[in-house]
Amino acid sequence: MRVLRVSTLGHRVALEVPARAATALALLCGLLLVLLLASLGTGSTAIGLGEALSALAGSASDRATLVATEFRLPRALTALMAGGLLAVSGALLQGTTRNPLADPALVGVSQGAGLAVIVLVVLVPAASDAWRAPAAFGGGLAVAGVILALSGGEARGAQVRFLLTGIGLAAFLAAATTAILTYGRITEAHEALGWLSGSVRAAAWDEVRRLVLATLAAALLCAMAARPLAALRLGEDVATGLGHRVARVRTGLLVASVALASASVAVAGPVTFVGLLAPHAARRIAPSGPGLHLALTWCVGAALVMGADLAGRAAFGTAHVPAGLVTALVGAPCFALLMLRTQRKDGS
Amino acid sequence: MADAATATSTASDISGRIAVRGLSVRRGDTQALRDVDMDVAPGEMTVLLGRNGCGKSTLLRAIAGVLRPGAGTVEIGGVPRARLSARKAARRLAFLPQAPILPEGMRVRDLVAQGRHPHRGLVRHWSAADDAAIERALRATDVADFADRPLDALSGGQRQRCWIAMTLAQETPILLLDEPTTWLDLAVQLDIMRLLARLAREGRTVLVVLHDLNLAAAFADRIVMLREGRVDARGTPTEVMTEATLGRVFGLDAQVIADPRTGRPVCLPRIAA
Repeated sequence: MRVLRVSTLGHRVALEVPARAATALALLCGLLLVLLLASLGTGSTAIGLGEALSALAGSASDRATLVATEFRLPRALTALMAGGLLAVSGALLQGTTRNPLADPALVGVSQGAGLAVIVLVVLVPAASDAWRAPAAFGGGLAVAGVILALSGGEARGAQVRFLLTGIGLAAFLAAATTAILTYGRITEAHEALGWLSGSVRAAAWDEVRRLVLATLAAALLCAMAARPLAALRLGEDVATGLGHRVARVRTGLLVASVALASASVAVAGPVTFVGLLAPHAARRIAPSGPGLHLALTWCVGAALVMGADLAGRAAFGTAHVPAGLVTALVGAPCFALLMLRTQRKDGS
Repeated sequence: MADAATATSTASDISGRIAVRGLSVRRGDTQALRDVDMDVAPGEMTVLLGRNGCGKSTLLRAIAGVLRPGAGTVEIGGVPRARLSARKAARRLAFLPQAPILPEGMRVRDLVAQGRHPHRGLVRHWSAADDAAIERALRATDVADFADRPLDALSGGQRQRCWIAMTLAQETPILLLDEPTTWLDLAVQLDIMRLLARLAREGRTVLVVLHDLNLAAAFADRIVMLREGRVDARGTPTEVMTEATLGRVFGLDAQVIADPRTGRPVCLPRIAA
């Protein structure tokens, strides 16, 4: 493996970066830019990329300016950041549970966050949108706590138990959500339904601002998580021997994972499979240490959701398919493949 | 290596000492350790022996800080372990558990670099001292030649050397190893034991859990035998490896003879045909 060495400040800050991962990161950033431009140039109104770009520069018709700056750009940015957050959340969850199949949307964390938001929307219609994220965080944390309590212990099979408990809980929460929706008034229920399928359609600058804050927080968390994650990859005992307080680190990583998933869910709804697939895809694209892996994972997740939103808009004409449905259509078969691969590895 | 060795041995008298007093550990419903007292000295290899489930791994893991004692204390270099922060403790003792997990595709050098964790922080990232420690560890364990190869491509013995290199990169006066030779070919087992004996001679405190009686007798400076969570016998191999203790501790009917070349005891189980 070729390695790039970067050092500054007289060797005080030195980075060793695998060349392949660095290239992959640059290419992924390029892909994100392409997807962003494509998103700007695609939509139900016939406004092309050129017109959209000149609208952003402030020199186009009012209508084009409205579409580009108030609809398409915030929507694309929301998809980008919601995807990145979900992906990183998945990577942290997989790292802390040492379960390669963990995903916030699969084990019910996203559904818990979603239920909390639905309860808020249906029961307190007057509440500001800003309350969604804290509500989602509370719901997600509650679910994480329940799964850990139900599946706890270090015994054999704990990984499978964690996953099954989570999947069961996710189904229960989805049912509870549907039940609450039938009690809600039709307008709130309709709005909530669109959001529940994982859509960034209604995204506006308020959402973008909240996601920017969450993304900055995520970057900070990732910087702090990289070293403990590296140690945890070698198992809990080795991590303890290397001077990490494993119990505290794992709780911290779990809470961070729930927080990032909640921030994403509060805006875009429970988009499935991104948290599961992005970390695996990042690992396959380029093997690297946890820090760079988290960065790659963020890019892959951002590209997945932005691509899914774009595909949902472009491929089916005027019938907008929510990004969450697209990721589920692509993600479910990939999940099955991953299951098979894990099983084969355990068997050998 | 010479300067590193003297550096360790001058500090070893204070920092390499382990003192276990009245240690009791519960695991689930069973009392895994009862009132264990043990002293481990620097510059020696001490081997923990006993039957499966006698508590030898539990004792090692309690010293390593992986398990919390129910009662009693572990002192590392005169300081109670409970009063050391996790990071400070990791600068005094390195711990290699049984069958550690190997991440897919990891390079030898990257694994060894993990040993530098207790010497780094969020802000302080990498230094020439880290590089030097890694190089020393790679050379001391004879794995420098394949430092850039992935671990999955190596043999079991080479891989175990790499794990030991990781603990050496931690640059601690104390090494704790839980069954480092299990699953390895006999020739490779001897290889690993020679390496550990050398590390002890250089001034480190080496505390090892082993399964193989003769391997322990051939290499240990001191042996501690545990039975049902208590220390049953302790001393040099010759003192401890007697027919009486083997019968009591292992339920083994064996003859003990002296190795004609080294004089160390060798255990020959009596096999009724």
